[in-house]
Amino acid sequence: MLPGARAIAGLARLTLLEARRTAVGKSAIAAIGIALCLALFMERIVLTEQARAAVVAYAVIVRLGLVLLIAQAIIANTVRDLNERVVEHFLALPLTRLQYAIGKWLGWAAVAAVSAIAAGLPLLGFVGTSGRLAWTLSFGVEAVVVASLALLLALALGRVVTAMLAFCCLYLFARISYLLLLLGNNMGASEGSAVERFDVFYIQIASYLLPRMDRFAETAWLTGGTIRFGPGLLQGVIYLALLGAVANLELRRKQF
Amino acid sequence: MLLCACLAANVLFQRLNAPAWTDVGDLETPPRLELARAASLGEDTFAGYLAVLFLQNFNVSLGRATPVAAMDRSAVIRWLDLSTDLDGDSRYPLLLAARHFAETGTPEQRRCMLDWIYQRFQERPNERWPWLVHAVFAGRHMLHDDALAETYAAALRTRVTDPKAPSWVLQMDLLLRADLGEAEDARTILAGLIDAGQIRSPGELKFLVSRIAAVEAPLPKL
Repeated sequence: MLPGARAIAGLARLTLLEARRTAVGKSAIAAIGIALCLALFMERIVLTEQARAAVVAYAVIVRLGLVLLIAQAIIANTVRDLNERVVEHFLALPLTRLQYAIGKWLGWAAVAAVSAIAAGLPLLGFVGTSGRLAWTLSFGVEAVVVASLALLLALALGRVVTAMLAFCCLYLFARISYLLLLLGNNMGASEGSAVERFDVFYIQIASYLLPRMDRFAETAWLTGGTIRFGPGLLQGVIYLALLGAVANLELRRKQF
Repeated sequence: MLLCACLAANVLFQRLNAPAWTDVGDLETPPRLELARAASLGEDTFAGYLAVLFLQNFNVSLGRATPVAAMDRSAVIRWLDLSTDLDGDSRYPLLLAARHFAETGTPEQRRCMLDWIYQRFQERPNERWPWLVHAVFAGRHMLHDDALAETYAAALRTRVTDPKAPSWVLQMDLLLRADLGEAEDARTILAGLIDAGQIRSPGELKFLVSRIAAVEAPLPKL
């Protein structure tokens, strides 16, 4: 193995170790357990379609819960590394800034992917649910995109609250941008006043900068809806490459 | 000393501000469909369940139940519409309408709910026929409105085209008219069903003919 690749793999291993020691895994299991309990509660209070309601509730809650958990863990750990000068210790080694970022990214991407697979496992308990594998894989792709975005925001902003707030805004907007666009167009904003046209234009431009998060892990797949895994995967690949390019620019700009 | 004083002050505050029961307010207009979609981050199915659960438990607020009949039916329908629009595949709103709201209240309130079921049935007749079947029953035996029951039964016969639907769904119109003593209409419907290939076994035909014959038979002398 090349020295650079060995350094990246070592850093990824260290990141995994750090995730284990900061109880990210246990927190993910707790989030899955809470989502499962809420889903079972939902199953008890609905009058019909108990299994359908439970699987839908589980999928929605665990998806949002794990996304926020992964982002929070990555941002907190990365900002701590920056504040405690751990980054500078690493850069004292024969390691470039980009290699450092790739090593951290690999570690956190692995944590995100394993968390997503763990979230998919309880779906096996919901008998007769279709699309479980597609949902789990798609959620895995989404989790890796989320991890990448959180890492970039933490490196760029350097503060937990600011980075977390930025992440929440970007993620929530990426989830509903298509709805806002449809709403704007259906309500005639494209033919409305200059202000209304500006609003739609602004949302359109903002949505070009963000991924279509609604294409990942659609809950409808678990209730018999048509499974479209390809667009989500393609969106994930495109956006990971875009985040990589932005990270490269950011690391150069900072003269790490 | 300070701790005890603060604790006592807090206890006093809680005692002076005990939670007061307030009656259930009006079932207000539900949020707009687009707003509900955006608020649920595009999770339409989940939002549909939440809307219908809110409606289901609205009259049992904080453990004290108020009569379902007191709920404004037009507002109930708007909530049911919201849930159905969010999740068209769910049968939950139709179940609530048919078995919860259409079985309580004044005849006008019940008729209002049955009409809603009839309207929603027309969008997806092959999936929503079970609730219109219940509406036929409710119209005939609960509201004693035979004309209404006949309208719904005719819709079942003409709109349901799914071969997986039980044959009695299409035959319900015939059975209802035979039950009402309208032998001529029942015979016409039977001919139509035979022409359309909807009578799937000789046993079925024999049963349906016997129901019409029972209507035509003279009453036994006392």
